[in-house]
Amino acid sequence: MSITLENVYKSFKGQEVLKDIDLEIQPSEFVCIVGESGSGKTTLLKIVAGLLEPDKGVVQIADQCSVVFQNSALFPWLNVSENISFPFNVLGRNMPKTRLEQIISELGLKGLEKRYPKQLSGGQRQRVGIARAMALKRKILLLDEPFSALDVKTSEELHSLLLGLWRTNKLTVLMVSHSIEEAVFLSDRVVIMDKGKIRRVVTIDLDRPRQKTDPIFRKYVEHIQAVVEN
Amino acid sequence: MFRQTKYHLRKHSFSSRVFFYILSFLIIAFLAIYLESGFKSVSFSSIFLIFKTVSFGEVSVYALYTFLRLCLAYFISLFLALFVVFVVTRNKRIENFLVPIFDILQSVPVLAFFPLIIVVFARLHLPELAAQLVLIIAMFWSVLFGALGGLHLIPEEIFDAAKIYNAKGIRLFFKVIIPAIFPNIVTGSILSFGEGWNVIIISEYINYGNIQISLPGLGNLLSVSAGHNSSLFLASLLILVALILIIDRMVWHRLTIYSERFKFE
Repeated sequence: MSITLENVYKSFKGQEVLKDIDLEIQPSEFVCIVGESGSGKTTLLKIVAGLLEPDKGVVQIADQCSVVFQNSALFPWLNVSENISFPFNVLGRNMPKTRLEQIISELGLKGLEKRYPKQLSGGQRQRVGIARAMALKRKILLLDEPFSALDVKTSEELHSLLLGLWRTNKLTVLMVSHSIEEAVFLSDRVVIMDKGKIRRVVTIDLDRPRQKTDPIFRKYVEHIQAVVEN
Repeated sequence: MFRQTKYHLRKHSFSSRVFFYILSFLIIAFLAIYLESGFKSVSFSSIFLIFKTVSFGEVSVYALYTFLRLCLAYFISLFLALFVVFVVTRNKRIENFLVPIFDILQSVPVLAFFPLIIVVFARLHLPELAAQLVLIIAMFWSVLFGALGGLHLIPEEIFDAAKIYNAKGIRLFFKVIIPAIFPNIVTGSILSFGEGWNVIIISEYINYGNIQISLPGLGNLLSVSAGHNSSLFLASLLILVALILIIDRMVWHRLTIYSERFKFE
């Protein structure tokens, strides 16, 4: 297993945030978590990332994780190249130039290397966030609503980019999504959370590339929507 | 047809700035003359007299002493403030304990520490150390609260990203926290130097009971010449104002512009 959570429990100031969380994610699997606001999605992701400790339960992760944050979390005083190579530079090492150029090219950031985050659009910033996550060649990628602040066209471009990276690098991906349609489009399984618990796990048995107009695709979306609303 | 380009506007605003600086300088000079004459008269001859009777070279050397004294006190204050920030980032509970104490201490006027400073350092014949202590007590708080304020403005996601991507402990402090709080350090430093200018007179010329501590500097010149030597007083005051303006334009203005890059949106 790439990621295993057994009986994970978390509370903040006496308020239960996660309860009885059992989840296993296979290597190279793409899993999305959906649910209403306050259902514990981001808390679960942070526990997997090691940013929070569970109060109870076991979390086993096969490798260190890279994370793409909702607001990209880029360092404003570093340009694009410096943000991407930050994981190396912070340890006093230089990122291999060929690797940096390869990532910049893959993420469509050529020509933007010397720009600072304030000079980038939202979509470009998220590309840099993803590029930084790819810098260390870690096999587990976590994303916290990375496309929620972007327009539809930019989101769709980044969906294709993410799927390409997932396939090429054989990543295990766990992503919190604000959109059920996005979750069905991207993932192998969709985890539906409600009030800190996993309500249901839906396996998306569709070949890629998926079409949003496909009737079976729409049925998956409606089914998950019904579970979330009920 | 005349079209104002950005370059033209920049040129125009530079000459406006120079004009207003000169005007401010002259207003201060005339106000100082008026004050020195006991609110009786203002005359051009008073200004020309300065050039005949005062050695600007000597006064400038005194200005350099004052500037170096302030710089030393500032850098010590900055080092101490960053040390406190480092301690606080290692243990957040310490902040809850320290900040109320700092809040009380910064409200205590620097003059309240005078008797202790004078007794200790006058007896030890260490006037420069006494002056430094007075300046540090005045200058430390602005830098400290600027830095601590900046720490609270760092988004949580930045700390999360730093932790995920290998920045922990001392690496987190130097590679993430110091750049992130840099704009607030600049603002705190400007205020800190302002506090320093406020206390240079009492730090360079201490006259307490039968104890007198006198150090070469602009504060000392202003103190001893006030009411006795108008030319020297005016020369010291004008050089003080010129020094403050130069530091503002050459250092603080440029740092403020540079620090914009470090700000979070």
